[in-house]
Amino acid sequence: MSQDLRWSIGLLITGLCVALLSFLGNSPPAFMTFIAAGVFIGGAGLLLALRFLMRLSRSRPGPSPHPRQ
Amino acid sequence: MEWIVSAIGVTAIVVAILVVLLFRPQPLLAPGGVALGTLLLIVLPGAAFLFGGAHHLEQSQSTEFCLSCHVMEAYGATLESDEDILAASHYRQRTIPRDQACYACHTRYTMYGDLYAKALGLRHLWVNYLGEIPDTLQLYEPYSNRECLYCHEGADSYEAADVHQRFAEEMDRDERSCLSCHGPAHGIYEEVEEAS
Repeated sequence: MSQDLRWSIGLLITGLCVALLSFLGNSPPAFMTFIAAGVFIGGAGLLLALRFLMRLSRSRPGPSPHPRQ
Repeated sequence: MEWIVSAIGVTAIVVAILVVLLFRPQPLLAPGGVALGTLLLIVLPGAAFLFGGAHHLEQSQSTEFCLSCHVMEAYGATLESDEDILAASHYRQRTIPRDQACYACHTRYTMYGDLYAKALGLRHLWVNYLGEIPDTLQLYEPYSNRECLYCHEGADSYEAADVHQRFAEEMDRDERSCLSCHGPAHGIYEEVEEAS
């Protein structure tokens, strides 16, 4: 499995779990925790996922533009 | 809508899917993996964060949220005061929702009032945790009559008072503040001045 995919999933799980924990509170610290989880950890995970998907799509040979007669 | 239900539900489901994907990533590497990956790694986590954000934004309007900061405790205490203070009378008589008491009066009743309130809230967070909290809290700008008139204008009790009719234009232009007759809003400044 690609490192990008592994890190992406790991960061997304971490970000979402921290976000879940932040739902327990109703205060500015809980809000800040969510921002940190969503913007920084989740954002990094989404960027890595995007990079993995772009590499994956490039590595796939598409339909040939000049099909054999 | 209770965003908390959607936020927790969607987040928990996405976490479960991602945990499975961590140990069995084969579907992503198979044909059609790009589309599946976009859904599972971008769309669903993005949706979970959006639902979570909506929940937190909804919560940030609550009185409990505002008064959870130490610096706001004195203002919260005035809500339940027995004295003839504007904030207390609104709170006691339930003319504002008790669970959104701060937000009801301290948001702008304009098209982007909610967004403006959120932006100021982020500034408050910054000052509270990373900046220097001033000894005496003050509004960023004079309190606009617009916020009072949003509820009171047109009400029988408001229209029946001659003085409101007499100064209607001045009040619309914010040249005469509602607080000049009905203030103080919290009665905190006088206490600070007396203490100092």
